[in-house]
Amino acid sequence: MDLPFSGDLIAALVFPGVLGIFGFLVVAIWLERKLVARVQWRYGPLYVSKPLGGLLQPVADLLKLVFSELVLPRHTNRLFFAAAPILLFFAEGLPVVFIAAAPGVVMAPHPYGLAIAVVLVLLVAVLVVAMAWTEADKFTYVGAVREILLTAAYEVPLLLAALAMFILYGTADPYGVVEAQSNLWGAVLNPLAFVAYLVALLMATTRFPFEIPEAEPEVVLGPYTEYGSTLFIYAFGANYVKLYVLALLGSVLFLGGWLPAGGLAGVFITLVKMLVFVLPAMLVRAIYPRYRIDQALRIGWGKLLALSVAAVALSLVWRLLR
Amino acid sequence: MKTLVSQAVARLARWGTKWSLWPPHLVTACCGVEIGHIFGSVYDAERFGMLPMGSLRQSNIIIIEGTITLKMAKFVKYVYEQMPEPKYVIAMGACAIKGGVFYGSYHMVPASKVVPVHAYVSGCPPTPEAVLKAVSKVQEQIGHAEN
Amino acid sequence: MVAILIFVVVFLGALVALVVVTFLFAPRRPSEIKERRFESGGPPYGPVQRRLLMQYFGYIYLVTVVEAAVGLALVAVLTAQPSAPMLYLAIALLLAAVLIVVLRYFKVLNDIRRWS
Repeated sequence: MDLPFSGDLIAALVFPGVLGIFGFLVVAIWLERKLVARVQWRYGPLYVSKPLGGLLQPVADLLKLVFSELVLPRHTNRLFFAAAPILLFFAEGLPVVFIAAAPGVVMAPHPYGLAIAVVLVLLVAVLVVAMAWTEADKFTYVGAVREILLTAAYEVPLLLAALAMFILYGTADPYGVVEAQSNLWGAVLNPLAFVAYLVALLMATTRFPFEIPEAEPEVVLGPYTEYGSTLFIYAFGANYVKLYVLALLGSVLFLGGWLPAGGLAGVFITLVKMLVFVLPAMLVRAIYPRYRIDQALRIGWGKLLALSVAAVALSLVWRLLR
Repeated sequence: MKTLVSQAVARLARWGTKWSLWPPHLVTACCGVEIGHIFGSVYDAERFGMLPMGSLRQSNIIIIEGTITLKMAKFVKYVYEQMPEPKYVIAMGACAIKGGVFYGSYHMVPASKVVPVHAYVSGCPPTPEAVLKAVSKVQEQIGHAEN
Repeated sequence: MVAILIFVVVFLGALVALVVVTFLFAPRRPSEIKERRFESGGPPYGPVQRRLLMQYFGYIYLVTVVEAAVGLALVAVLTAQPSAPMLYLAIALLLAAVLIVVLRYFKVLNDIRRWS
C-alpha cells in the first residue's frame, strides 16, 4: 500500500479507534439531546453555536467538566476511585481492536475476532460493579446490584444472537462474516437474531426502557453518583462507548459491514449502517417509560430468551439446508 | 509564555462553564413549579445549555426557588458547600430576595445571607422569561470575568 | 500488533492526560464538607437502619451456568469442521434443556415472595 499510513494505523487512530470513540461521544450526545428535544417540541441545545445547531454543546459540557474541581471523597480509596472510571472507559473501547470497519482497516485481524469482541463487551460489567463498590455509597451500591441483575438479563440473549450468526456464517472472522453476507444481509437471513440483538443492545447500554441502574428518581445516578469533573465524563461516557462498539459489531454481523464498497468508501458505509443501531437507541429515550427490574429480568429470561433460541434454531435450519 | 497559556486555558474554561450550567435538583419552595416550566416545551432552558442533574457532584449552578426557611437554609448551605468549585447561584422570587409575603417572619432568611448570590429574579412567582434572562445575565458575568 | 500498542497507548494516554489537565488547571478549594459522602444534600449521620436484600439472585446463578454452556457452544461452532450435523444436534439439545429448565422455574424466579 502506498498510503502514508497503513490500514491498521488508520484503524487505531481514526476509525474505529481513538478519534472515532471521542467523536462519537460528541456527536451522539448532541444527536440524543436534539432528537429528544424535537420529540418534546423543544429546540434542544442551540445558542452555544447557532449556525451549527448547537453541535458544540457536548464540547462545552466536556470543557466545563474538565475545568471543574476534582473532588475525591475522603471515605474512598482515592487511587482506585480515580482509576476505576478510566479503566472502565478504556475497557469499553477495547473490543474495537478486533472489529473491522473496512477491508484492511482493522487493528488485529484474527480468525475468531468477532467472538473475542463479544466476550470483551460482556466482561465489562465487572468494572462497573467495581467502580460502584469503590465509591462506597448507598446509591452506587443499589446501582451496582441493578447493573448485575440487568447483566444477568441481557448476557445470554446477546451471546445466543451472536452464536446464531456465527452458526449461520460458519466463521467469526470479520472478513469472512462480511463475505458471507455478499448476497443477503444477516438481518434478512435471520431477523430473529437481529431483533434479539437490538433489544439486548438497549439493555447492555442501559438505554431507556431498561435504564434501571441509573434511574434518576430512584437512585440519583446509580453507579456514577459520586463522580464529578473529568471522571464523570469517563464514568458516564462509557455507556456511549459501549453503544458505539455494539453498533459497530452489529453493523458487521447483521448489515453486511462495508459492503457493497471497499477501502475508504467502506468506512463511510459502515458509519451510516451504525446509525441503524444508534438512532433507535437515542429515540426510545423520548417515548418509553422505564421497566421495573423484575420486569426487565422477566423479559430477558422469557420472551428475549425464547426469541434468541428460536434465532439459533433458524440458523441451524439454514445451515443444514445448505 | 506561561501567562499566555494560562490565559488561553482560562478563556476556554470560561466558555465551557458559560454554556453548560447544570442545576441540581434542589426545591426549596413553590417556585419549584416554575422551574419545571422553564425546562418545558415553550421556554426550553436547554437552548442555553442548561441540563437538570440529579446529583450535586456534577452540577454548578443552584437556582434557589423561593422562600428559604431556617430549616431549609441548612440544606441549601450544605448543597452549596458540597458542589465542586466554579459554582453560581440565582435567587428566584420575591421570597428569596427579601421575604416576599413572609417578610419579617421569624423563620425565614433571605438567600444572600445563606450563599453568595450572582443574580436575582423578581416576581411572585417570576415568569420563566425572567429566569431565563437571569441565566443569560449569569452567562455574561462568567464570560466577562477576570480570573 | 504495533497498531494495538499504538491504540492502547494513545487511548489511555488521552484519558490520563485529561485528568492531569483537570488536576493542574481546575480551581481547587478543598474543604472537609466537600469530601464527605454524597447523601442527597444532607449530612450523613447514624448507623444504617435497614440492610438491602439481594433480590432475584436466582437469575445470577442461572446466568453463570447458561453462559458457560453457550460459551462452549460458541467454541465448538467456531473450531468444528464444516457441516457436522452431530454438533448442531448437540447445540439444539442443549438449548432445549436450557429452555425447559427456565420454563419449569420461571414462576419461582419471578416471584420475590417465594425466595426467602
